[in-house]
Amino acid sequence: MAEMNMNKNAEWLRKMAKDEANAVVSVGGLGVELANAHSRRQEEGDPLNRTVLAKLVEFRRRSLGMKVEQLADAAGVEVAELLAIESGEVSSPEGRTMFQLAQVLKLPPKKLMQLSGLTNVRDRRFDEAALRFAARSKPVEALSKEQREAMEELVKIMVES
Amino acid sequence: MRNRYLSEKVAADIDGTVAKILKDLGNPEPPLRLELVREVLKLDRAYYTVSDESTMRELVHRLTLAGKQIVKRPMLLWDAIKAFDLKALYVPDRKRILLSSELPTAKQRWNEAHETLHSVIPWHEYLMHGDNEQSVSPACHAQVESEANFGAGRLLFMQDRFVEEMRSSPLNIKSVQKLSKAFGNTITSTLWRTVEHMDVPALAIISDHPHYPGEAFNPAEPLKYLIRSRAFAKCFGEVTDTALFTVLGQYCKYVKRGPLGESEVSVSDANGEKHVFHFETFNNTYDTLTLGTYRAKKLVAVAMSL
Repeated sequence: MAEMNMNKNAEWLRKMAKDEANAVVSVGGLGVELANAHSRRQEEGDPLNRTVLAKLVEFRRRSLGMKVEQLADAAGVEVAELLAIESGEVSSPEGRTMFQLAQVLKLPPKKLMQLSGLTNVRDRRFDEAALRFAARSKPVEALSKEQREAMEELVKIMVES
Repeated sequence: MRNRYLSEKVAADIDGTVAKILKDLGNPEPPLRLELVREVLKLDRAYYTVSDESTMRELVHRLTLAGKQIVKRPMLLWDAIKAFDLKALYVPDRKRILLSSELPTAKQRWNEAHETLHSVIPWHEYLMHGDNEQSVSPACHAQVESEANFGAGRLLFMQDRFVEEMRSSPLNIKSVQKLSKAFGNTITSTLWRTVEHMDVPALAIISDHPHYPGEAFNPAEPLKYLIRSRAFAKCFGEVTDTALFTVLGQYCKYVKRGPLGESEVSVSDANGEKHVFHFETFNNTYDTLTLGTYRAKKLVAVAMSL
């Protein structure tokens, strides 16, 4: 089985820097950024996910051989918005943007929605299948966690009626 | 609460989806028949009620049969219903729209269109409640609701068909009522669309009656909605809800229904310069509706000031 060799030598680093037009080579940079982001999480929401999203989008774009402008064009999003996402500066992108990027980059939309902060991963308290719904209602923050779960059970019963 | 405008790309995508629905229906004449929209989109519609005691007992009974822990605390369900103020639902896995039977028929039409849009906006599929893997953030919920509202407006008012008719009609409450009848929609939603499509500074206020406020009236937040045209939001962003409601009280008559009055009102722009608006107010039993349209930069003294 092949093993990934993470001990890159100086020559390899110089070669990568040249390929990247002498930009800063970020070997280990992701790890450092993630560690820094982790320490900031408590005070700034969740920049960790933003950093992961930024790196994921950039990595996939480069893997597909696309420039920023090409991806923005294919996904129908603004170049400035895409650059902001790739630099981890966007704190609340639009659902449409994440959906469009997921389509072009062939990534699961649900995961991108989570990383972008549009949705939050939940504790799994129930084993049964969920019933998803859109609600015309007051904002969800008006409900406690218990109330939200009660509403979700109520909706299931109403749908089956 | 103030209306919000979507980004151009989001609005264009949703508009494209609405255009396709209308095209599939053969671009019919208004009013739009929602039963035909359901047919084209293969959607199912049903009604629910949770306001009477027997229905609640039945629901709790069914939850008991399903072995849900929630039934140990039935009051939790009541609290949740009250807090959530549920009006309508869309369940994507069943392609079913559920509407509260307690809402007036005219409002059900708006809610059905709103839920229909959830079913056709592609990214909403991934931003639903009730998913046991993820929950929607409050900001995202607000955005998704704005998008469904925008689409519902574009569908029920048949896109540019309404804009053309609105722009060739006088700007007053009577015209709004006429357009409301022609498109089969509520006066409130027609007033909302009218202001959003105006190129000049204009506003609409949806509020309690200034002299007969309802039980839930909150003086700290006196307006239910303040709808501002883009030009108004840009130039008159400092106007407060409280100041607007105070002005209504100064010219509205002590009658409960129908026309409540009209007046010229002076409003200061962001630079402190005064401009004259014409305010006209009407009560439709449910809400007090005010249309404010731009007249001119203030040159003479007017009756009231904000």
